[in-house]
Amino acid sequence: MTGTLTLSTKLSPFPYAALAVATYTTQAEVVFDDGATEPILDLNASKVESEDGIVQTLAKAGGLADDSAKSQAFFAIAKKIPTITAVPDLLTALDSLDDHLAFRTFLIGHDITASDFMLWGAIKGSVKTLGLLKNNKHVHLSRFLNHIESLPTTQSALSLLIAEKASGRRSNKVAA
Amino acid sequence: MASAQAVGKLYTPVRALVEGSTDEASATDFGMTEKDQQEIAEWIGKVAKREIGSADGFKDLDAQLTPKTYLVSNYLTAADIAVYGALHPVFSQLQPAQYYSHPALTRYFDHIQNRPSVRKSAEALEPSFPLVPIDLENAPKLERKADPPK
Repeated sequence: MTGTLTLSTKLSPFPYAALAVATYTTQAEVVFDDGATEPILDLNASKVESEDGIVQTLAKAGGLADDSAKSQAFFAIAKKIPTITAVPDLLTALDSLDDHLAFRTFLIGHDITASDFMLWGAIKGSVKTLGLLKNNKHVHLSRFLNHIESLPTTQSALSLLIAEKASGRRSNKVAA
Repeated sequence: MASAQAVGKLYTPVRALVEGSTDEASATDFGMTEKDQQEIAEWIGKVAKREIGSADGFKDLDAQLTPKTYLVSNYLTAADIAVYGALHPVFSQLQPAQYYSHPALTRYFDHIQNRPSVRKSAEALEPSFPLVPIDLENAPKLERKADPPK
């Protein structure tokens, strides 16, 4: 591992994509610091401080396939999803992703890319979107999300987060 | 292990395709757990008995694959390559309108045929498993039923 990804468990929405891509690519060690106000990647002596920049940087360092024109479009969709408040608008966005993923295993090409992690992370952090998906009207999008979430590296990333949250709660109790 | 032995029952050229794209020493090709190994052996057994590959079974297979990226667990195994090999003769004859009606199966077939290990094995077996062009750009939007009024 060459880099360090610093995350706070208190970030909202939590940068799930940055966490999962760090463990998937093994390009950065995850460090939790609840004083961090945004995710910070320290890699090869340079700092990246936005989640999409972090995901792109780690994906590139990890040798994931890249199609910059298409990935820009999917990064934009991923960033927009948590900001959509009207349910019909959100459903339209999910319908379109479901149509796209009905015939495709991943968003772009035939291999996993940064865009896949961005979309999974954006939806994982959006309670409203997760709620709508429970209606089971987007089976192809759900298949895709379950695949990213079930990857062993995603599972170990989520375990790190859960363990960190659990330890934080314990120390809070001690302080009180 | 049972899953690797099952390959011996496959017919030509699917057997050669599976042998050319898997490695018995691989940690994943024949299953990471006993349960996965069992399931892989079952799928290969179905292919060997020619239960996979007729267009009649497409609807069932499409339904089984809708929630799954790979047949067994969540990674590429010998089961996927055997099933892809069995599907190939039928799939290569389909018109877009026919494969558009089975989105999950189409997505799965296109994914497996593009795995580097599968391409390498298929190229060595030319002309048995040429890449089947799948027209994704013109795929129709899915039909969505409106919710009944509450």
